[in-house]
Amino acid sequence: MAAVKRGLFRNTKLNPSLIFGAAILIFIVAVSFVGPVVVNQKMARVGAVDPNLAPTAQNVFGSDSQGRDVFTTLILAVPPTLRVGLIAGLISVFLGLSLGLVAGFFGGWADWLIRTFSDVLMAIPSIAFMILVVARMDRPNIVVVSVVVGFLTWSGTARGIRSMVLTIRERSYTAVARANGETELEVLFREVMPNLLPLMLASFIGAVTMGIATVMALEVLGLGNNVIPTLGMMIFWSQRFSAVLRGMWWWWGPPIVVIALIFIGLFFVSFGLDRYLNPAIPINRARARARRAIQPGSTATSISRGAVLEVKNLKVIYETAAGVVKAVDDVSFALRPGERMGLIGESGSGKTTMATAMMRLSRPPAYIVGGQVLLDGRDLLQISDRDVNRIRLKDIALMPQAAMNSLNPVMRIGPQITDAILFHMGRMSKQKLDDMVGQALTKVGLKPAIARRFPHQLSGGMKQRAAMAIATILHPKVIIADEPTSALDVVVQQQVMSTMGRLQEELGAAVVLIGHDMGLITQFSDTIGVLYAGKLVERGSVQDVLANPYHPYTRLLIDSLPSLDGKHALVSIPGLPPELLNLPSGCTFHPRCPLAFERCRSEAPAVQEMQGGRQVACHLYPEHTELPSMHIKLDGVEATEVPYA
Amino acid sequence: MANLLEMKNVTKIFGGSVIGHDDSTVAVDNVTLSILDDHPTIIAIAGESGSGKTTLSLLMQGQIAPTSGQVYYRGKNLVKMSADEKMQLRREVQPIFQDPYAAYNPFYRVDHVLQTPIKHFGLAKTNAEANQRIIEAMEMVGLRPAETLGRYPHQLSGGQRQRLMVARALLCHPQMIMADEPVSMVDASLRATILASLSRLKQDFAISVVYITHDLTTAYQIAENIIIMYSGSVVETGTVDQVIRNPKHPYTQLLVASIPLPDKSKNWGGREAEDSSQVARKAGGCKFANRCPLVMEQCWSSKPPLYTTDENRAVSCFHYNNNPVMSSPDVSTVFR
Repeated sequence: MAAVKRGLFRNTKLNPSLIFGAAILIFIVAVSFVGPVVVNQKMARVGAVDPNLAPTAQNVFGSDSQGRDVFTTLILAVPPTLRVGLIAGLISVFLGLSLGLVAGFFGGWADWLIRTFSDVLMAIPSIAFMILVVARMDRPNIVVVSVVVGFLTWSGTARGIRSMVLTIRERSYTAVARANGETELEVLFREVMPNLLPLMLASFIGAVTMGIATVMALEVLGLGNNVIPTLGMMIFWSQRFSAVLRGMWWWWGPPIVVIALIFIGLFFVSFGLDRYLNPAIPINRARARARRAIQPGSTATSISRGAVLEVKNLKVIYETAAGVVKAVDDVSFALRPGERMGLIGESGSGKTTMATAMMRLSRPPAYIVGGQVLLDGRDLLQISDRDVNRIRLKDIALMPQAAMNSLNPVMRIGPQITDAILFHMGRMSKQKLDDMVGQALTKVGLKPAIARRFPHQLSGGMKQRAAMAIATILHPKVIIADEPTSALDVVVQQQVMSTMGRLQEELGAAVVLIGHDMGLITQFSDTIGVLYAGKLVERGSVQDVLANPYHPYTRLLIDSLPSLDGKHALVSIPGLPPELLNLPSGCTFHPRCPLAFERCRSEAPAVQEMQGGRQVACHLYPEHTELPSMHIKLDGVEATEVPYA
Repeated sequence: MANLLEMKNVTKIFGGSVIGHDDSTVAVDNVTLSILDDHPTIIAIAGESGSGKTTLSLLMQGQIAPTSGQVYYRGKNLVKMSADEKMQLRREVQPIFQDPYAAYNPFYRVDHVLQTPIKHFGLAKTNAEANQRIIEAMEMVGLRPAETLGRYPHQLSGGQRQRLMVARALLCHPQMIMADEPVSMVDASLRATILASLSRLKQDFAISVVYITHDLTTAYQIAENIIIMYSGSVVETGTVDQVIRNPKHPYTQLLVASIPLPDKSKNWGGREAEDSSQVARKAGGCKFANRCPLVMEQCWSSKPPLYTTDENRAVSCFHYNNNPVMSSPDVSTVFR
């Protein structure tokens, strides 16, 4: 079981609400086991003590009008109450799990049958149905009642399990398991089931709650078993004999408190389990609140001459429960009007975080904690939200990653474009609007008639073009394109980027093209910036950087690209990509750098100006004038030895 | 020269036609090819999304049955195999998947995917032997067992996870590896070691690799032969040196010209659109006709056969009809 527990709860620490809820439930379960042994059971019989006694040291909760000691009755009432919940919960989860698994894993007619049956069940009002069931019995049997509750409540579990199994079946690890020789049943029990544990636990808790609540509701209505004391029966009796009117709070109070405790415990446990079922990026809330007070540092808003966009010392962090992640760390660059700048980085380099921060679209847990984004001399990070809204799209526009998914699937293309511009244009005639939309579509190589289509009626390339039409319709000065073609086939990618290039020239806009594909960035851009672990490590014209990179990372990145000029050994960058939560000291690239020396381990290199307006952040300079040759023991295709990493 | 795997006139059609409304898709259209037993090779199957390359690989593994035609493994028809033969096929034809994260069950440590095949295929007698096998396989792909075993998948990098998948496949003593886009979700700087591991499978272990990809540059680097697919059909096939460096089919030419290379001197941009939606494809003609810049009259009415244009290449295009039609429908006969 130890391995199971570690597997299930390894991602997050046990959360407080789970611990709190479990503590309450454990206490109550302990009472139900120990209590009946410890107390004198005879005290719960009718006439065991004097009736209507107020609490004393001897009878802590006094006695009821039938001469039963309330404390003893209360202790004896806990086990049957819990048993009801347990039976209902087990039956419900067992049915829900097995039927959900069958429906999800095998599908077909079994799936259809189970779903139809559960639909029918869900339409049955359970309390009314239970009243009917109980009313037909001479002496209501709470075991029968809890079994019926179990049968009535499995459908929710089955639905949850089914949809989760469908998701898991899509994941390739089930295919890997088959390739490893597992049979379908083994795949089901070894690969699928363990991942359903949190859901099963939550369903179990839900069914237990439901079972206790239903039986209690019946008992309070007088449909309980008069012989066995349960918490519900205690409340029924106290109400029957007007305990409230007679001021006998010790009679009706304690069972209500115990019931409340049970439900509070169940609630907190299921609330805690929800964390595992629906994991979100853990946010450190206290620190996140504090962040809101911090304003980005404001210094003089001087802008480099001739720059349309200048990013100065931009810093973006993510507040996570595990600590602060510096996603963008002190990045500065200036963009000339009409410049095409490529920003290249691998996963975790902070390139998408940069794109959103430059639009001031960072959302928690991401926070811009310093720097400036100067557009025509105005700091986007300092102006009001309203002013930023006026500037976005009109002066600076974003083509988001997988722009085709940013289109609203239930809206035609035309209205999506007009929606985007109406805020900026104010009132205008429908004719004029339609003309604008038509022109924008024509410019990106689409027919105006496309405006009447829905996104799903367009191909990937057409959707990308529609997104491009939105981004360029107001003739922005700066366009930030975040991996605009990463989901497209190579032929379509080339066509879309050609259109983008022509449009950029017509508008005279500056473009920041963010991506991971060195080939694409080379072909499109004039200048290139290389991001590594949130820092801009090199910047210069594309030709210069490719022919003669200064930073060892850039060199290795270029060497790792396969070419068509001839087969040669492919090179990987040694070591592992940086862990953002645990960045290396000094230069973040030093553990992977073949040229690293002592200083790189201790001191982070500052950005230095190099010849030809180039910049690099590396301690090799200014001692060296160019990058020394690197000897790395790495081989590719014809390698006799595969390198370690 | 016995065939390890053989596909004869294989066609796969998805969906069906409801009366008056045909929504079926021909994913693989009459493909014949073979992979030799005693001649390990790396074959790339390349094409855009929807070209049928993944369907072809699923057919080869027996994951789906062909609509028409037959697939044979060691001379046995995949759909007529006994349970034992299927188990053998499963062990000997090992897949490697695109997403190196989804390939791991998040519930288990990564050791799970290495221990399972040993247990199920009875690859080791003792625990010590099993551990030895695992360590050997990991070292083969350049992973240090001490830094990898006992971890959960999210604790490894994408490159490590994918190489571990290669190690897993290797553990099963496969005859063939089907690698479907194995590097497309891995950072460029970490791809080389994965590709190198795949190359080693062929070189050191005489395992044939089918490398399914949309990326012609990596295909060129690691494969010897390539099949270019378009809309379910083979449009060009042969050695990578011929097909990729000097493409003859207009579609292959378009594909190669569209690759953005990290070299400004290479002309890339310019073609903005071909507006393929304008001209409807006609049944019975060349499938590429509506996008083809060199389309001729006959392309609309009849389907071009594969012409043997060079010793190691065949092209399905009427522009090469002065060459002989391939004598055998088996596209792998032009392979080197």
